[in-house]
Amino acid sequence: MTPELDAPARAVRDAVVRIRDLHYSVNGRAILAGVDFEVRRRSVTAIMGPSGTGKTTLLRLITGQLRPARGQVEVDGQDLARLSRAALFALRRRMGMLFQQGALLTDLDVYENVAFPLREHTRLPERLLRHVVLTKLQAVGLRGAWRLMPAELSGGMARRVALARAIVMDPQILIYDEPFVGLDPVSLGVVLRLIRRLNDALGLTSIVVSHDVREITAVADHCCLLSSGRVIAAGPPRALQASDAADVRQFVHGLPDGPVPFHYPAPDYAAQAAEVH
Amino acid sequence: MRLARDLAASLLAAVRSVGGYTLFAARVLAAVPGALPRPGLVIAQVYNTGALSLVIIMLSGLFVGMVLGLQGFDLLQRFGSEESLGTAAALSLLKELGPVVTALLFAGRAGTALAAEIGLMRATDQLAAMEMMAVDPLRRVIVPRFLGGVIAMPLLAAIFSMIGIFGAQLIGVQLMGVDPGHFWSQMRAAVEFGDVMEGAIKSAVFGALCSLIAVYEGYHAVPTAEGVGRATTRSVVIASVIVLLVDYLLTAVML
Amino acid sequence: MRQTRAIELGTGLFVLLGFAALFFLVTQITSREFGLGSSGYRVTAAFDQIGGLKIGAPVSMAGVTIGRVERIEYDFDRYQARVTLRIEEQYDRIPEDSDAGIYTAGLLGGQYVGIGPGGADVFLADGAELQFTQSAVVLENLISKFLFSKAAEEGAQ
Repeated sequence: MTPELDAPARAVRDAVVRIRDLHYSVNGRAILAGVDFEVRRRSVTAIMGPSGTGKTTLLRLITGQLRPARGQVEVDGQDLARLSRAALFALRRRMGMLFQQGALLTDLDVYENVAFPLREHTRLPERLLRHVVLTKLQAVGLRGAWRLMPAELSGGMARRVALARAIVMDPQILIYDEPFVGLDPVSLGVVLRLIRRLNDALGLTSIVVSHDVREITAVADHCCLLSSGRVIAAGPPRALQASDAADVRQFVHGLPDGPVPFHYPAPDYAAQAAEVH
Repeated sequence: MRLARDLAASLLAAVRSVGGYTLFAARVLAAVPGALPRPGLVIAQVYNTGALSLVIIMLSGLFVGMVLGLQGFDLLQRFGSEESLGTAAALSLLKELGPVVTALLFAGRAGTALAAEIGLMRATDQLAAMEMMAVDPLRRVIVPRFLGGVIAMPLLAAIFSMIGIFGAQLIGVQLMGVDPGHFWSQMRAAVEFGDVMEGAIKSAVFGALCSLIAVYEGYHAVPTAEGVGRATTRSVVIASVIVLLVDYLLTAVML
Repeated sequence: MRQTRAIELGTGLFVLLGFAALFFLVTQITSREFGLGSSGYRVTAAFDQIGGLKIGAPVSMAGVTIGRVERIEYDFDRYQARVTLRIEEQYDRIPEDSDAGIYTAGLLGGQYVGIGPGGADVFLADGAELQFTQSAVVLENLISKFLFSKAAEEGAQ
């Protein structure tokens, strides 16, 4: 039972990513068990959920890094499972992805990191390339850091550089994997604002995976709450916050105990204590 | 009963890893033509694996050669043929010590660096990021490193052997008083072009094996700090054992 | 840019040193000589037994190396080994009736072709054949001959 909080008819129209009945398991353990949802064009969609519910796995399925056990992932109308490796790579040129820790290439400096996709896929003259790279660095406010190596960057800066790299090929879809983890409040505010601004300025479709409810609900148009491999709620942030389903309430309001128990499953306390002696 | 099951399981794992290595090698070789239009990447790896190993190779070559000078002199003197010291030193360096010791040092110096570097790229999602940027990490990262090792190893082994011969000459001629004319002329008369080729072929094979093992272990590292450490260790251990085993096979074939 | 220049320099030095070492090993350590392959002239000699003679072995007169063994083949017409010698061109006054023998350098050394000068005033030219040859001494034959003659002596007494 998955309570659909918004009108389904609206969501179907102009969906960039469409997922139907998605199943995925690792070593026989089900990570995703029947996920359905859609991402509309030019929206910021948040995928939320407690740790270990398969959010990152879902992203990897959307980008074709993993193949589903069952079900269908459609991006821009193309079924990923049917694409050849070359066609998948062609599709990925229209996607940008920001990894959890930025995943900058450690042996290249900031400038070369941002230039990397251009150098690999285009034959731009150096002057034009420089212009593009500096424009993207300017957009994330790090043009001054162009000669620094990744090791010299703070966590927030590394993520902004990675963001510049993700948009350097002018993608249509931008995917963020836990962009707020380990950031101080200032960097977090910067990244948060960048997500919204880039989405609107460049006309992107953004997908953000996160468990920072308060932060992400501030920028998202649409939220999708994942728990134990299923979508338990979907809709605009306000609708999620107002929901009175117990599992949604627990996650959205950060309650320590609820349908997700505080205690890891254990035998009876008294029995276990007695056993030791 | 349980012992048998464990044995079967580890046997199965061994067969699986042989298969994994073979498939990976095939993928790397298939990706080689795609990497050739970017010689800059290969050159950078020749620098990383070759030029940076130069000091350790030269030092080791010198000392191995000096030991050969001492031991060889002592041994040959018992048969009254210390003039053959040059021949003995040159042949053992060219055919065995040069390729093998270079390969072992390479596995320890360059191989671990390769495995750790690639393992770290795996652990920090750099390889996945490349995939996402529609760049094949095999072509961009793995193949240049593999080719760099294949090119660097025969050159390193040649340098090792050359320095080693001078080391043997240093001890034999300067210290022990072997006649320098005999030392060089006997060596020239006895050593054939085929001996040099044998060493070169061996070291090229070792270069391919050591680099392949290092990049394989790095590429398949468990993406954690511990996993990278374990991959590094595995790459040295596997490479060293394989080098010695293949050395025996190659020697048997080429003798 | 400064970094890439350092890499290029280091790589260049390494590669040059590597090839220099290979060149050294090939030219200085071995007896093979390059670039001289076509110079000089060739003469042949037929032997009943060449022992362990190898291609590249020196050809010498009075201990001076004047050439190398270039080819060794078996001649089925004469049931002999035919050895082609390449003599360097400055040694162009070897009498036609000189003899060739296969000797061992030292007790255990490699074998070489020794040429003893004859008395003719016509000299060897390209393609000529040395008529007088002495085969290699095979140690086993020598020993068995020696034992045989010892046994014969004892039998006679």
